Amino acid sequence: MLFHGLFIIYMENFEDILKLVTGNLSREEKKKVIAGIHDKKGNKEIFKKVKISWAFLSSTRKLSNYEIENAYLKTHYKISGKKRKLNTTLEIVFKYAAIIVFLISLTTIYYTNKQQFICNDTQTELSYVSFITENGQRSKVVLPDSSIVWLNSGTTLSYPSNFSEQNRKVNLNGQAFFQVYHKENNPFLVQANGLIVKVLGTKFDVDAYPEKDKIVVVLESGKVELAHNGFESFNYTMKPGEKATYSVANNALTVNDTDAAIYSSWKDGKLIFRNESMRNVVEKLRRWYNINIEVADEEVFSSIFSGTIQNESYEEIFRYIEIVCDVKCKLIHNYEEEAKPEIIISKK
Amino acid sequence: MDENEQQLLKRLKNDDEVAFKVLFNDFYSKLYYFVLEFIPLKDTAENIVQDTLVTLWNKRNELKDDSNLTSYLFTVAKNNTLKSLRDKKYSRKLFSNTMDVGELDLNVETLSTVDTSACAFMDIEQIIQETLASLPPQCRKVFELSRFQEMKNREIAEELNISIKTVEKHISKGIKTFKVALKDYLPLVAYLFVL
Repeated sequence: MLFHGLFIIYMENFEDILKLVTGNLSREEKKKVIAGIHDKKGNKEIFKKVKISWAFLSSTRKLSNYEIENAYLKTHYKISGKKRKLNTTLEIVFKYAAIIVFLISLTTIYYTNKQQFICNDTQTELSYVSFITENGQRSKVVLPDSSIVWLNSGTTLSYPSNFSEQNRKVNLNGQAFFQVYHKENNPFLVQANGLIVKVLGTKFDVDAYPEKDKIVVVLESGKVELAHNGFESFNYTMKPGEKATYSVANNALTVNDTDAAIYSSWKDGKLIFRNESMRNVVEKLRRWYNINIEVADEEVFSSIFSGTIQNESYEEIFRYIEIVCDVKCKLIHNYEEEAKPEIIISKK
Repeated sequence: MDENEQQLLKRLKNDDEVAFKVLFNDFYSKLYYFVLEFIPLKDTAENIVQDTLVTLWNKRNELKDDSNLTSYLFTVAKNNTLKSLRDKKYSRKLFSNTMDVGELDLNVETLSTVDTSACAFMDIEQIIQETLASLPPQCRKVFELSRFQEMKNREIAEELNISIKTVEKHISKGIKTFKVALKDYLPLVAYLFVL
């Protein structure tokens, strides 16, 4: 009898909650019932139980075979498409012999102005035109086919003298953001340490600093195809919003979804860090400001940093890092001719 | 555990992709509709379930020979769903669609308490089928239309030419019948149901 009594009290609420869970309430009615659930403790328990039962009952519904197949394809792609382990037993065949020659013989450098250097290499049959930026510098280059390339600090971009609308291939050492015009039968190719980025009209960022093991390509819009001059079977077409990381040592490609704007913000004079490890932050700041950064304690590397740098001086940035990452930054100005300022970061 | 499932698990651990596909086909719908109850965004639910099955593949060698796959998959799906619900990016999306904060909180709280351990899943599918069969015809019809075909009570009333009140009574009766049926078979149902 007691149960029966309780049953009646719960009856009204039960019906409302049932309607809520089975999706039979209007938006306003929903708000009322939800408020009612938060008000009375007993109601919440009823809600939870009805909701869970309904969820398990709903799980006996079936999707169409088509939907399941589709989902399977996407899943399969997530498993195998993301981690491509290239067959390392393949012989390495260099498709572009001219490139090796270029890499060996880089000679004269001229200063034209603060931002830009032009180098002419005439030791080979093909002469190359290069654009180089030093640490602390960034520049913007317009190529003969009207494509625009922004070069980040410490970067070399070069192309053969026979570069034309019909033959668009460049070499990259460092980091650059490309804005390429789509020309139907004339793809634009970027080669960076063996990785070839084939462009089909688009905006993308390539991070290929020589001393780093990884090359990162981030696609903002359009379509690019990745290939490797040593492995014929390696091929991956990127979609906007994807970040492809190619490991030179392992010959492996990993693809993630990402916020493309963060990676190329440097071209607008902004450096954006979002939950970056201190290790990466230090490296990027070294190049951005052209200063030496010493980290005295390994512990510092375990900090995570988020922030945007636009026009701040490095003194301001390191003051900020001191507070946010709880470290101590000691600044040493080096006033000698060739010396760079130095920052020493240690734990507090 | 199902003999068939045991076989599949063994093959899965031997890197058999066909076994994976079979398991995928078996579980995808179940996981999808379950997750959808807590995150009513189809794309998000799809991604969560796909990621769950990717995890099954990636961690196949960590599974024991007698692992309960239903339990394992629902647990991973539950955790992935909770992670998404707690992620600010998704909650913003949900709010602009159908939910409000109160409902989101309720879903998170409810899902956190769902028991996805092995014992909770024994024979539940069979019991559900048997119980459905045991419902009086019109009650069963109403219940199926509501659950399987996502029809609103009003639509069901129109379709079957009965009043909305009658529809509501049938659904209520259906849930209560299930409550009784499951109470007898599952040790943890006392947890799942009122009274």
